[in-house]
Amino acid sequence: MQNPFEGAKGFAVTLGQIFRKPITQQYPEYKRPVYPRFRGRHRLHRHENGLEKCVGCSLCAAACPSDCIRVVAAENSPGNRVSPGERYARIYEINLSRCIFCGYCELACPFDAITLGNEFELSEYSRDDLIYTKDMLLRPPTKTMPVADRDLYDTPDPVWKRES
Amino acid sequence: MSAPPEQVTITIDDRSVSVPKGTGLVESALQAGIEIPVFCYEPRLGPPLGACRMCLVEIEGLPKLQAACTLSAQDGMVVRTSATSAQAADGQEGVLEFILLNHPLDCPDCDKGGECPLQDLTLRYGPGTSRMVVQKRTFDKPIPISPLIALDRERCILCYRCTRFSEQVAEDGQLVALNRGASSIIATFEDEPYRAHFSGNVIDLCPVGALTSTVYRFRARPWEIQNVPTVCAMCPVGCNVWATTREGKVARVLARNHPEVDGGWLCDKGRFAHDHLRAADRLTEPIRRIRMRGLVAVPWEEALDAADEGLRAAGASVCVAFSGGETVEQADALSRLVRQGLGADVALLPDDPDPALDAFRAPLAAIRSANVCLVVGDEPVLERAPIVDLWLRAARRGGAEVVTVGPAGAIAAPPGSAAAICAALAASSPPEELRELARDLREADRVALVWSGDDDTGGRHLAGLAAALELGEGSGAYFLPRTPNGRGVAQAWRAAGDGRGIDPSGDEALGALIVSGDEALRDTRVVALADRARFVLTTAMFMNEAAGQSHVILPGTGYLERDGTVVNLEGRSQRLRRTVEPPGWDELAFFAQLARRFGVDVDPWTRAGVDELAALPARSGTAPVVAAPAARGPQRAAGAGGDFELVRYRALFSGAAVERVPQLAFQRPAAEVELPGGDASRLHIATGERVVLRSGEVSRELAARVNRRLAPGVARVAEEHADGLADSVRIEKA
Amino acid sequence: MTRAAPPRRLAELGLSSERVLMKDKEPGSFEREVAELEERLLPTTLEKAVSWAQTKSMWPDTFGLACCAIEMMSIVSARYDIARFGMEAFRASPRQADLLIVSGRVSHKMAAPLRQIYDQMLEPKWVIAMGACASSGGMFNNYAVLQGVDRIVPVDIHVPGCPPRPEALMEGIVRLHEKVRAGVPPAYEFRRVAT
Repeated sequence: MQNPFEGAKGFAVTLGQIFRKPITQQYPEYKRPVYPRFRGRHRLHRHENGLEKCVGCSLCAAACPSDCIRVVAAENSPGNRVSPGERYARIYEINLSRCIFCGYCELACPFDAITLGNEFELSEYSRDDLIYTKDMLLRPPTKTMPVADRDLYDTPDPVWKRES
Repeated sequence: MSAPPEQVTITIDDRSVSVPKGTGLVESALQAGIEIPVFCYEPRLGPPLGACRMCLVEIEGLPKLQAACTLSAQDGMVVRTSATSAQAADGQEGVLEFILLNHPLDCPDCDKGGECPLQDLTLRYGPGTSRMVVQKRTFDKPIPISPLIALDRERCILCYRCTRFSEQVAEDGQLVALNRGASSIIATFEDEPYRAHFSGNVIDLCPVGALTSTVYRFRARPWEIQNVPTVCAMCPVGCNVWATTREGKVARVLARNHPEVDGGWLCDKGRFAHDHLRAADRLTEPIRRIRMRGLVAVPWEEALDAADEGLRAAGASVCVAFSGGETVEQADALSRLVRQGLGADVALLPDDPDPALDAFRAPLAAIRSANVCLVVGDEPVLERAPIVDLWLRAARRGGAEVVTVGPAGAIAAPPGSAAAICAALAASSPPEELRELARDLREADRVALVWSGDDDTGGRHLAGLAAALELGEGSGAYFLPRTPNGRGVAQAWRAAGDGRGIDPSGDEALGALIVSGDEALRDTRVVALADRARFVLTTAMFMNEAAGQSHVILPGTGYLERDGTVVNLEGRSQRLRRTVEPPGWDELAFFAQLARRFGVDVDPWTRAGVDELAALPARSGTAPVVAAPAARGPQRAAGAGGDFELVRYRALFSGAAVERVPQLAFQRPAAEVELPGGDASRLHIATGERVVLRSGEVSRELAARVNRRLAPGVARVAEEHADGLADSVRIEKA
Repeated sequence: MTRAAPPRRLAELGLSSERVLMKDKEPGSFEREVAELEERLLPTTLEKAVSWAQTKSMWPDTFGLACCAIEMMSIVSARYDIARFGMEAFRASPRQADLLIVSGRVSHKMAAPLRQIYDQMLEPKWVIAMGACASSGGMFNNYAVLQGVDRIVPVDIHVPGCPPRPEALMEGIVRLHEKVRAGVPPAYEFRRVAT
């Protein structure tokens, strides 16, 4: 037979919680800031002069463990200069429904052309809509996420950058 | 052969290895399981050059590092590679640092990135960082040295592999190193395009991304591709190739070294013509002629029904025209359908190599070690079987006597006389001009006989000559068929019944004609037959006028879309592997189903069982029937006035596939006629001048090219420019 | 009960997935798919009331398959508390569930039970494919794993992530509610799957 006071102890804990502030996050209305290193939706970047940083080298596709990136390159011509080098990505697609947001593409990229942003609100009504094409990746995300203070949570110099 | 060479023992990295005297250090190290890295060294390109210094090793007793590729093994030599010698490792690191001084770090841009020896060796032997602080050397890039090859001089490390190939293997001498020292660059003369049959090989040879293929440019990266080992079925040589596919499409074709067949070289047709598979005008659906509606695309089952109906109505009055590009399995299915299912026995074979030739099989590599090579026939070997030409050049460089007898040969002979020459050489008392050659052939240890003629009975004459010369091991008789698998198709046709492959002449109506493939459609005999046939069933990749006469047209497949066996000119059965999916059923599937409706059980799958590097079957066959000495063709009058005998040849860069690859357009034969030197000067015609060729009502205007090797009274034109001309033409200045 | 002219873009109906919000781009795959249903898209008052009720008590089925299930469980917990959406009652019986959250990779062996559970659910019913594996097979592109549950059940919402964080799953649920409120029928009404 258990000590009857043991049960009362349990209720006491419950009772104590009543006077605490609830920890429930009111998600759609309040969005808790994500950590600065949180890996969400991908972005492709441009140089300041408007040319794309991506040269279509497919190294991201090589690094991708779930094989969700497809790059088809083509040659820049004087009439159609897309990137600074000789080649550019004619097709750049990320299948976000396969992507596991590991960030290897970001590590593999020799030109810092692709980075992972902080946006995770990516649900779609159709699987095909999750295939992000180059123009979708180049545009800023429509829904932005609040990000926690970088100075508090992010080291200024990532280890992998320091050692390369 | 002399006695086996003396064995010497050398020590490499504390491992002792015994090799024949004279073996290079790089190969000796490989035997000991040690890699000596190289860039410029390539034994197939002739003597080593020692240009890149990547192979530096320390040799005991020598004060400085030595280039291993230039040294051969000596008894008692003690070699230390970078694995055990700090000095050698330091040397190699220094060499790589120097190579990388001016090499741009544009690996993400570069097509070679990922399969680049310079990348690999830098990772393994090179310095981790660069000390180069000043601006690197820059050039304009890319420079198209031909429509097929792009040159990037910034990336070039001056290993001279490409120029050595051009000078010492293909002997076209078009790619050279200009300037000296640090300002050396690779270039073509006068910025002329690099127009040669084997130009694509320099792309394979380049150890960096300096020479890249414009066809493959930026199409794929090495980790996105699948390489399929297959065989090129564009000409009768049957070079072994890797077909690279990306996303279900052929992106490029690379040489796959079969040392007995191709020696690792590949001609530009095999390398670049693959893009015809994606041509816009390719047929992808079966087409049927329907009364009042013309040609209508129909489903495959309906095409099968239509073919069934048409052939049933024809009864036994059926003829099949092969194009010589079919696999053995396809030819077998078709032959058994016609011979066993329909009871017909008539075929147009593109080639009919005599089975007696099987007694004189030898690998193509045997040409290189022959003492005497004889080439007979009107057609240039280079145009019909280009790799054979490389082997003949290798033989000539090795000191062999290479004699061509024909309209453009060292010994002049009238066109069409190849069979007669074989017979004359086989006879006990050859005519005066052939006597010396006949003596050399009989006295030589190893002989290579190459037939490049146009005569269907040529195989028998060649075998007759081979028998008369009593060719032994190391010698071979090579009959060059016109078509890639002519030998295999003829074998399959013979095996399917007891009849003959006869030429159906006469003009009675024909019940049905089966035209198999695009090449058959180009045959004028087939077009004439189609007019007489009540029902024509055609398989073709591309629509043309001749195909438009058919009642049922099936979309054909290219060789890269087929699984099967092909027999090359040596008689070697090689395996074709399906690289990409065909747009619909392949011919084998269709004809197997059709045959089943006629009660013949044909396996719709290819029976595997051929090795990836196929071996040559042993010599077989009965002692050949020595051909009765054919009468020598009438010696035609040598160009009296402006009358010439016209020799046509089928250029390598011609045909439906080449026409559909725009990058190959510059390789197609120029609209010119070759004239012998004597006749040209008599008619005051110089190279480049316009001349008119007339025969009867037909006349053609072409540019003249004086060829001093051509026999007098003979003019030579590529087949596609000789349309409609008779065998005898009158040539005058335009 | 007349209906107004249907909107040209779904975003005007209150749907707000990332792709739907890219209004300067041509309509995405989903928008083209529902274009034929346009006359049903603007609900009548009665339909609005029904769909409001549906969104306020959409009970999920407990169908945890892999690591995503851990995140799915956490949305019931105090921090995320899905009871705010009236969804706290995870039902172990498909007959009492309206929403199937496929959370994790579905092996071919699990495919039949999944389909059976879906079939046992009463209409209207909705499906969320949670995470990369359920949406498309994810990084498990191999013989054992079903390459996306949309091959066997009609999926309403795909939530990417590996695994999606609880907020991401809740975002998927919010998107589903938007869809229901806008009058878009459940996916089984307009999407075919392999049977």
